[in-house]
Amino acid sequence: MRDLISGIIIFIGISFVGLGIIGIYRFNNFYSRALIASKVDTVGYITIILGVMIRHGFSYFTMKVFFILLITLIINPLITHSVVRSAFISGYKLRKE
Amino acid sequence: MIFTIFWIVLFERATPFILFTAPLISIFSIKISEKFLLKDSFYELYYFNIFWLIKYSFYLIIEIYKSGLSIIPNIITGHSNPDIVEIYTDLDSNLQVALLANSITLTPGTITMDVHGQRLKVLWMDPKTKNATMAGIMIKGRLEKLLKEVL
Repeated sequence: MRDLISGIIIFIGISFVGLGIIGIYRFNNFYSRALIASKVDTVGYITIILGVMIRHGFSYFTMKVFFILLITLIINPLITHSVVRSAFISGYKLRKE
Repeated sequence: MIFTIFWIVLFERATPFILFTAPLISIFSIKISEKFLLKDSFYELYYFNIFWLIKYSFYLIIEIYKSGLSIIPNIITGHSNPDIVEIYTDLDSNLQVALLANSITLTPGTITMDVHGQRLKVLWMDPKTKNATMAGIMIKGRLEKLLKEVL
């Protein structure tokens, strides 16, 4: 039963990541790509990690994975922010598609 | 407290020796970081309730999923119109503004680009308004209210 639920959750996460990758190749503008890429590593990542935690049950391994999730949630926006900000300062133009 | 749990989890067992060394090591690391990195008291800078933090992250994850689902049609149709909007916050302390900016960046479809005091520059995937206050309401939503409660 637990295997089934976790399998479904991991499948949803992987489909989010797949949609994100399609999005990255679909847009040509830098800013749109950055926006889509931030979707991949928040929604898809959280879903996959939740699936892994449910599959393993309550153990030390689960708590380690949970700490990894917390640390990523703190660091991830900083990296996205710095990449986009440096692009903006060096003068990338906004474009419609 | 959090560091103690972290220490126990890293060792993967809870024998008396580990239980004894864990608080020592955590207090030691907090003191060291106070002395060399923060140059101020740890609890004055980062004081918040842990239950509030859990509640806030719960709301944040709901918000992330909502906007993550709303961005899917944009990917399928290939329509994107990114633009920069300026919004204002009523939050005062640096910690609150930093938390708000990080939460905005975490939700898919919006990225914080620049922070000047209480003015935030936000890159938005598909802007519906260019008005500062309206955009602020749409982006910040309930997060700002929750942030105001705590500090």
